[in-house]
Amino acid sequence: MRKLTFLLTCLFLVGVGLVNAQSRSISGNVFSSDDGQPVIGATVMVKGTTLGTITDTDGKFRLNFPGNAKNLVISYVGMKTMEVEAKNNIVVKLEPDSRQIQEVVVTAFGIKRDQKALGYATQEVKGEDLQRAGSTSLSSSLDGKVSGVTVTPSSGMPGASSQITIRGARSFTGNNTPLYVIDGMPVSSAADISTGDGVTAADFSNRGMDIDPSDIETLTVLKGQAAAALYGIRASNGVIIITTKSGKNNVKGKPVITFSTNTSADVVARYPNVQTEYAQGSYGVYNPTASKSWGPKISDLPKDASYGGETDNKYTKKYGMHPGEYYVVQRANAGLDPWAKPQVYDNIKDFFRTGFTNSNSFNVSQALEKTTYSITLSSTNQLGIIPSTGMERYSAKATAETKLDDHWKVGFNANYTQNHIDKSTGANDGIVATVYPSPASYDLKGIPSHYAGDPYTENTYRSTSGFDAAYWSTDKSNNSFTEGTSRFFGNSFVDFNTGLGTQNQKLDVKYQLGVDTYNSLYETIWGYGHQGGMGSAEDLTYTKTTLNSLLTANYTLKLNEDWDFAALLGNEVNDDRTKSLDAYGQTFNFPGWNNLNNTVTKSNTISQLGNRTVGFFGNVSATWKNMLYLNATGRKDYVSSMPRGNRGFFYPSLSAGFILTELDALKNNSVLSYAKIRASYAQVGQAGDYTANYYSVPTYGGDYWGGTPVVYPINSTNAFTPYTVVYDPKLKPQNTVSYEGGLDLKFFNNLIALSYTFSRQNVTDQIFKVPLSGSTGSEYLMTNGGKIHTNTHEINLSINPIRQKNIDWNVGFNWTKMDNYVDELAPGVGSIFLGGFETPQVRAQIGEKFPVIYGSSYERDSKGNIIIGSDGFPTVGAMKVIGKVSPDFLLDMNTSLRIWKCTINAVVSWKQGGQMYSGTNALLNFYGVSSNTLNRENGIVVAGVHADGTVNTTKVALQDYYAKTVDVIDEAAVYNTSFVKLRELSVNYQLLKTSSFSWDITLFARNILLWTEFPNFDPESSQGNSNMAGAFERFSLPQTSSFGLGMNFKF
Amino acid sequence: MKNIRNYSKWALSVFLGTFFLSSCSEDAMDKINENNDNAKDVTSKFIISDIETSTAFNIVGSDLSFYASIYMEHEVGTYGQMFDAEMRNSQPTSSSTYDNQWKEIYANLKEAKIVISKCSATTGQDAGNQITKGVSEVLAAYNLAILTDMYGDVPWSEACDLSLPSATAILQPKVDSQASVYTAIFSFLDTAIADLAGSDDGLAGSLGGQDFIFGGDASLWTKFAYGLKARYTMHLLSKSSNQATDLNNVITWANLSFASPSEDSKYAVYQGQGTSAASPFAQFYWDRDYFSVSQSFLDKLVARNDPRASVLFMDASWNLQTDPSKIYAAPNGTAIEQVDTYDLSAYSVAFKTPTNLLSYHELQFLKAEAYARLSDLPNAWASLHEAVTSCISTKINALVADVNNEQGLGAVTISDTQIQTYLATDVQPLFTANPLKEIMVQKYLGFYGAEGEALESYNDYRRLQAFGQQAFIQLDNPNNAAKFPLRFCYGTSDVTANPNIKSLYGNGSYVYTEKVWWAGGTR
Repeated sequence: MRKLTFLLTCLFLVGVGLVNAQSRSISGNVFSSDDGQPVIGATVMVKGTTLGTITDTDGKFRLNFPGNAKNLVISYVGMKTMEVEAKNNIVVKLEPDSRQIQEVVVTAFGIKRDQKALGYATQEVKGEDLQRAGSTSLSSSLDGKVSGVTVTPSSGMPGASSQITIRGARSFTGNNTPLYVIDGMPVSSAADISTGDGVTAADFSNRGMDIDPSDIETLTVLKGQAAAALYGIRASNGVIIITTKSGKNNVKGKPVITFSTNTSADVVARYPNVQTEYAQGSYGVYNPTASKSWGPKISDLPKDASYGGETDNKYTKKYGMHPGEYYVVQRANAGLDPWAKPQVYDNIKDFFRTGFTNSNSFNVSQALEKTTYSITLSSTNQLGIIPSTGMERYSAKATAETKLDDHWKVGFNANYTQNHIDKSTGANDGIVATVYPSPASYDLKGIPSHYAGDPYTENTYRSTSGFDAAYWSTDKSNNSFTEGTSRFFGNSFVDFNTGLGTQNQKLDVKYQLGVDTYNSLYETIWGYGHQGGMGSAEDLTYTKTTLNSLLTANYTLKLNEDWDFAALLGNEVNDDRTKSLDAYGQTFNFPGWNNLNNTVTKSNTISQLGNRTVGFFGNVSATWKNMLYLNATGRKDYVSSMPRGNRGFFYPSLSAGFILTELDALKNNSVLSYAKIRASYAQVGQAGDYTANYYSVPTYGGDYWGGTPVVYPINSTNAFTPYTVVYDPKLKPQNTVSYEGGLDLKFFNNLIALSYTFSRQNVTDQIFKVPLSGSTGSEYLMTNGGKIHTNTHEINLSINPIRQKNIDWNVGFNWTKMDNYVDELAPGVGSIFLGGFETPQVRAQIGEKFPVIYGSSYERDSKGNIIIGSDGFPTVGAMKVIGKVSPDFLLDMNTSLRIWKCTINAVVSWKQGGQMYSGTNALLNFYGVSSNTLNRENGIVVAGVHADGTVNTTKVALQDYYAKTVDVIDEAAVYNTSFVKLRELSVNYQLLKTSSFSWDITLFARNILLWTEFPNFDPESSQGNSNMAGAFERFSLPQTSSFGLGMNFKF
Repeated sequence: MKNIRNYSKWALSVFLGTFFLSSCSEDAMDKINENNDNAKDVTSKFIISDIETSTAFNIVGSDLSFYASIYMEHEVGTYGQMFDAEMRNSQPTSSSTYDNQWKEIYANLKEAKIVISKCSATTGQDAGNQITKGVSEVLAAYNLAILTDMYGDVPWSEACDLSLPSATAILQPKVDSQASVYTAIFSFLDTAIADLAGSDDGLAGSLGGQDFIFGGDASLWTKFAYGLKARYTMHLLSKSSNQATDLNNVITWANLSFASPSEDSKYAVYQGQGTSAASPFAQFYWDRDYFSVSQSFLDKLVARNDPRASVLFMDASWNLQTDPSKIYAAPNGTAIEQVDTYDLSAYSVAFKTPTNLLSYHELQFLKAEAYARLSDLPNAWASLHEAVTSCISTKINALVADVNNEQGLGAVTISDTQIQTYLATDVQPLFTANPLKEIMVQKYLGFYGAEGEALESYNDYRRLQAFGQQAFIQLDNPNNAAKFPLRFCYGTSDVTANPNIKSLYGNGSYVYTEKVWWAGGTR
């Protein structure tokens, strides 16, 4: 806090004139009473005058003042103001005063303002809070720390995508992720490649992963549209402003070197409960290639009629009796002794390994007289829990700023990051699809996953049509899924400021030019032998360059004691160029070289897109008596990605804050220390991606096809057809109107702080691909349609029950209730597809919260009882909404307890409500693998009633029950996902601290305790990096729990 | 120093001001948004290529036929969605089941309309290309017929509106009666026959290699059009006002059509698994493994001592089952859901098997049926004889070559002597006993294989229902008692976005109660 407020003090101390009067001169030292450190930038005023100075980097000051003055007033933000007698060489010890703490926050375009001046909600997270638990991704480190922000992780795989959304969704199928602004430069964070329907192939990471959380000094979330309105069309989803470590807050003089290192072990968060009694097969009969485990008891395998070593069958005829053993076809295929004793294998635990993560960050920063700089080098190396997965990330950053004279300042900021991820697959292609359901009787790890002498013919417990053997697939000489990115982003600026020759005005003009450029290669290799075929390779290169030009002029005027004014004018040009080259080839000529250059059938496409946004914006604000704060903004944006004539849009915002405790009646109230009410209104839009209608080479795939069954050119003949999406030339931007109101209260000298915000967003004219009737001959019309509204309630409560010198305990709660309703879609359209299979799907449905799970339901009577057919099985009902994804509320608790030099921090998240389609849970029942299938001998009488109302009493086989429900009734796979999770726990101890060296050590753990309604798996693992995230799970990669040690050294 | 800074300040502002204003002019923005990597227009022959591929691969060769082959018991679905279709578990009534094909047929029709419009224009590269136009009309008729045969009353007159995305475009086309759709089909075919007599004089030139089916040969396309007139006239027989005339027309048009199997309309580009394209049935087995040998189908072969029973099937380990008594077939409607359990069709590994759109042997079967219905039995037998001989020799020879070359299955083809013996000893007595029944059964048996002809088997069965003759082809699935799909239900895309279809769809159970118009129903 003190570091931050130092900067503020320097900036706002313009009113303090320098003293040159003829008089006596004294000097002194100002220290902080709690740690004895010098207080830098404390104000020393001569009482009753406007004369004064501030302390230097050693806490020293020297002051000339009139002989008649007696006392000095020494003040510092966050400290109790002291009055002392003016004597030479005085030593002043300032006491901390939490009542006086003024939070300074970064708002749009880097403008720093008092928290109390804002008419809208923002929330700041300090770098140390992000880094405490050793997270290597920004999204996971942010999870649970900000109200109104939803983080939806996909899996525990290194580099796994995740979705961050602020106050729900504004677009059904488009981008809902916030704009990231790093050190003044907008930086792209979305995924280049969508995981589409989310049912095939590997995940594609989002570019937010290039941001290294260890270099973040502060992160501010501009939640509402009013807060973000100045950023215009790109800011309808909120803004995350990141300030990296810069050296600006250092004590002037010697360089500060920090080194931090974190190492953690990652394990599977939750293993499914499986049965270990029954063998592979069906209806009690062993079948060595069955996908199911509905066979005989494992111990009875030697007695099996066809494969047992104790019965007369073709194997015992050939090889003689093998008492106690049975014949295993796959062992024979692999060249092993085919006769095996029945045994139970823990195939799931055998498959996963302990992952390791090591991250290091080295930073040098220094503040000199006129210059500050900071250099950061960091690395992250991760080995995933699935063999063959991992991530490496290396980044370097340099930032510097120097004052040329009293008016001119220049600076730059440069980041380079390089990463590589080895991924694995989910859903239909899921690597775990042949691990979780593997029969307990089958030695998945011990039996080689290919035939003896033939590495390209897979050998596993089931048919590999549509599946790959797990161990065959994790062998990187077969399948591999990788991505690598090199990225540079940074900017340089020139800043000119002047007081315009006055004491009460200030003009600051800044021009900044930035660039963000990256190059990614995504490679998907299905090796020779994949699902019995000859493999395929796809290499997708993606180059994106964004130029950002930003000119701002900031003017402030202190009119008189009561009134302050500020104005901002600016222009921003954001210019994106994206090139992608997709090269696909299938069928490798020969095995052993799984490379695009070795494929027989090839097809290539190139795509080059430009996108420019030019915005002109302004902001005026007025402050009256530090009590009433008014702010208005306007921005006109011109975007290239819309049709001619529909490119320019104007977006206004208004906000007001009123500090009740500045009223005389409430001032200096011992219970209510602070009270503010605030309200805002804003409009922000979102542009679409318009293009003239065109033809393209048709593609085949999806449906029942595992790969691409037809690839043009066919025998060197090509074809072109109208693209399935038709673009509306009348496309206009979608609009979000938002209203927000809130209340901030602090009690008992700030021991308790409570903040409540309600916001309402009305989104109209949404741009999306309206699904057309198939009978139009086209699939989608890119047009405006649909309405969605969101009511969000956010409560932040922080309590500081113990505040002693050696014990300090803070508890903070973030509560979010977000109701995101779909009011309208296009005419005649009741719901739209977001992802999933033919059935079930994730959809947006009119009248429902966004999104929902849609599919076949149980048929029910008017009382909600499941209707059972005369055969004893549940009957299938209509296709309808069978699950609601969004939770009732989220509550996160952050707590910090410092006892002397030891600090314990914890983050607990509670998600109440919400559902997910869990294909894995349903299929483990279907396959006879889950522990639910253990008591199978007696069959089951399914609870429900017949159509005539009588209670069902017909007993059916458990295998049939699961086959007939899971296969046919999607609702059988919908589960509640409420959970309480100990997301982060860390213990930090300061081993050593001297004036020149400090060393502290942190033990941390993430995602370690989980209480949930969701069976078998962590409810935070799902499919897809799109708007279906968190709604759909099917052989998704598991989440991890991590345990680690971190150390920080500071010189 | 100070002056320089002042000047540079002004210079910078002027420069920046100009830059910002010019950076967002409409022309500049248009240029940035230009999509140079996709063609805004293409010549018709490149569109034709994919109408053909999509018609063969998506429409005739895939899902529609897969489901039809279950309902017609050419196959038994033993896993996943095909198992559910076998058990009549939701699949036949769910709008998602046939939605992809619903959309693809309309996409093909839209493309055909685009080609017709380009070739009819007075300007442009395709202006004056009559043959290309004729080809497109034949393909339009072909897709439209499958559409209405499977789905019944469908949007057509307002469908595939080429004015999309203009505001006047029809987004929710009205539904036309099957009778009126058939009028459009015959009109397409008649116009096509006239157009195909013309030439491709436009700048774009003739179709050539872009035509996968006939290499741009207008005379073969004309024969195809006549053959289709024969097929579709037979479809409408139960609604005919003069059956004798129509049956004679079927014979006349069949005679104007293909003269030998070498002229068959087939999509024969498949080069094997992992190449540009592979036979959809084999690809489906490769990707899904959902089908097993149908007991009722096998029973019919065995009952006739049919030589095909020794060539068509293999076990799950890809060993050819030459002894029909050892074939482990899946019982219809009561099989267990398990992959690699029952025996399989040899077509599962026949990756090069072409997709038949219309074959010489089908035309002979049509003639045989027409003669039989006209009570001209000698000609009926002659046509049936030719149909069976051609069908077995053409299809089995191709299958044997395919599975032997690629998979080394060691299959032995059926000799002409075997065929003649089979016809004389096994078929002829049955023909004598009930000519029409044996013609329909032989056609049903002949249409087995890669399932491209399963749609016509399904049409035949429903045609027979219109005459109360469905017992000719015995189906054994016990679920048929209550749930024989009389039609395919509408696709989700229209059920959700087109109120005209939504009301007709209801909850989908109409597929078990409502026959299509030509099969004796109302819609």
